[in-house]
Amino acid sequence: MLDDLLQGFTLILNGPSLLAIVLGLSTGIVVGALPGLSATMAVALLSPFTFFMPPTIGIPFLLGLFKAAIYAGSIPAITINTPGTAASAATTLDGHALARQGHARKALEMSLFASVAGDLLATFVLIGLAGLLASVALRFGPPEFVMLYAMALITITSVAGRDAAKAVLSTAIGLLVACIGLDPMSGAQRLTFGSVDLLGGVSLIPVLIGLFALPEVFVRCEAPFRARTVIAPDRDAPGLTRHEFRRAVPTILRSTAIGTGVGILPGIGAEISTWLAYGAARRRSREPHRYGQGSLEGLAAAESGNNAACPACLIPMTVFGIPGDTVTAVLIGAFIAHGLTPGPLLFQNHGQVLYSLFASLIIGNVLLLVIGWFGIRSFRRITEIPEAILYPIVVALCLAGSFAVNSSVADIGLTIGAGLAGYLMRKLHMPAPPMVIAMLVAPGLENALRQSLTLSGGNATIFLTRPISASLLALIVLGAGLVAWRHWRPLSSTHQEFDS
Amino acid sequence: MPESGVVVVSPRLANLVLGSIGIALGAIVIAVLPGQTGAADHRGLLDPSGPGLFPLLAACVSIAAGLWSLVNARADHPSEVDAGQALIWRRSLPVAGWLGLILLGIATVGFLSAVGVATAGLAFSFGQRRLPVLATLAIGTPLAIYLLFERVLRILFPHGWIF
Repeated sequence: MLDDLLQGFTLILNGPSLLAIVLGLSTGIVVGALPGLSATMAVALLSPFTFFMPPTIGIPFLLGLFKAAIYAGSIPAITINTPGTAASAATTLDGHALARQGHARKALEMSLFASVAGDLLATFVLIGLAGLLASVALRFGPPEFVMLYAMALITITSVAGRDAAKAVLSTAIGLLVACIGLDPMSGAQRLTFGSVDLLGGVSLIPVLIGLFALPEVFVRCEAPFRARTVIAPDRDAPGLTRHEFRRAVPTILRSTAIGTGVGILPGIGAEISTWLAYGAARRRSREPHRYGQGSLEGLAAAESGNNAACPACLIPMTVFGIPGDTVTAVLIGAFIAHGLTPGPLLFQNHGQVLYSLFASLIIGNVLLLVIGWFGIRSFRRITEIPEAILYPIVVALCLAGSFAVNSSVADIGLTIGAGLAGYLMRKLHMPAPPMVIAMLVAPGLENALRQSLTLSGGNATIFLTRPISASLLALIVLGAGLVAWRHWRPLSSTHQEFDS
Repeated sequence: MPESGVVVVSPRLANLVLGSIGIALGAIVIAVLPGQTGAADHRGLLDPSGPGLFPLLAACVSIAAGLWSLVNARADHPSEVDAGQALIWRRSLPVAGWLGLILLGIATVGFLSAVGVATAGLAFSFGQRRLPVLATLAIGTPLAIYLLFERVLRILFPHGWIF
């Protein structure tokens, strides 16, 4: 493993790759600092540009963009009380409170250090664990993969809470959309309705661009333009002291562990881990009353919790081909376009390239620290870009980017259609991530399911007779039971309230 | 928790709409599936190694989720939130209009020209009223896209009457 990593460093330590990482980090900071632009949107939007580059340049750019966008979501959270990305929602609680108290600089510095620390530690876990898990995954057969894919779908549904029915529907739509096109095993046309454009299936990247970028434009247009009050970091204000950082170290370590654990689970990422880390830090704190009032530890918990999930999300993605969250769902598309099909064989067939990407994550953290440290005072200016200029440009880039994937006008229509669907889904409070993850998981799930049933002669007990498959099935039943319990419990209590 | 900035419809209306969509989608897929997969009839879809089983299962999940949503809709009460929705939705109509214009413009005036007009139009819809800014967006955005995509990446956009 260490040899692989060292070889990875030799592949990535060159001018173009380092420049790509710096560009990715800089773009990620701009994207993260602009409320409404998300890491998923940016990775989806910019991944077509990387298809023309070697993987050791294109993918480090996207990975840098991913981690920097998650970090930079804290900048508007602190300065204008609006999270730049959903993963920074918990940061607003203490970050903006600190800014109001005149400690904006301190808050921005803690956010940077906690993000980098969480991300770096989780990257080491990724490097240590991914190779080991891949060697285990190589022994998995089709029934085990069916259970793993099903588990990913259950996990993403389980975080929907009372909206579980909507999440299940979103999953079903994703599975159906993935069925469109030629059946890979028999060559039969499925749900194409005679359209030649649909023979190759629904193109993923244009759908993702439409689903994650365009709905935000609709939503922003709904609300009249709001003036933002920016609390800028005072040049003369004291920065973060060593003592303050040292006090936050246990919180950062705990939050990193939580973020890594959540990130490894397929289907959920930084948006969830940040809240879990914040909640755990508050419960363990000696001063829980300070949380929400400007606690540096609370800020550190939220930021290390969300950034730790970024590299951890790459574990299920690289090992099993199951996206850890929506950003890695988009990254899977980019990996495939670069000829790197995620799954256990990725480590065998493209080990050097893969470890060079892991090395790029470490280098990215060091560079993020440098860029963040020198740019901390000027980042707030990004939040001042007017929406009336930003969103029209985003729309133009969305459509140009979706066309670039296959040079297809139909893809532009697909992006616009997905954008309208995404807007409708947001209005109906229907989560989009289950649909995206289902679209990605469906080909592997269907393939493994058909192989399993063919092996067993159509007998479904094959999933029960193999120990690993049966254990995973037990976990799925437990997870599904939990979803049902969480859904029905508040519903019945609501009924009781109405009855009384 | 509703996403920030989004005025969502009431849970009752959302469940009613989504429940209907789920059931209708599942039913349509099941109805057309034999013809769309080459299976002789609906029983042919149950072949474990055939192309119809997986979409059939997905359609069944869609119907089940739709029914679940309808059950949830019964538990919720009508809300006044929905009364103002038409007004809110109307504000986002220009965005749909400009996107539609780009789609129409591709075949007529060309992609880049359509993007130029639509970018300025979108900026106007977002409240930008300064003519120099609108003109810069209308010319600068397609120019930047042209330079990046056509000159650097060699991706040729569909050209039309204008460009």
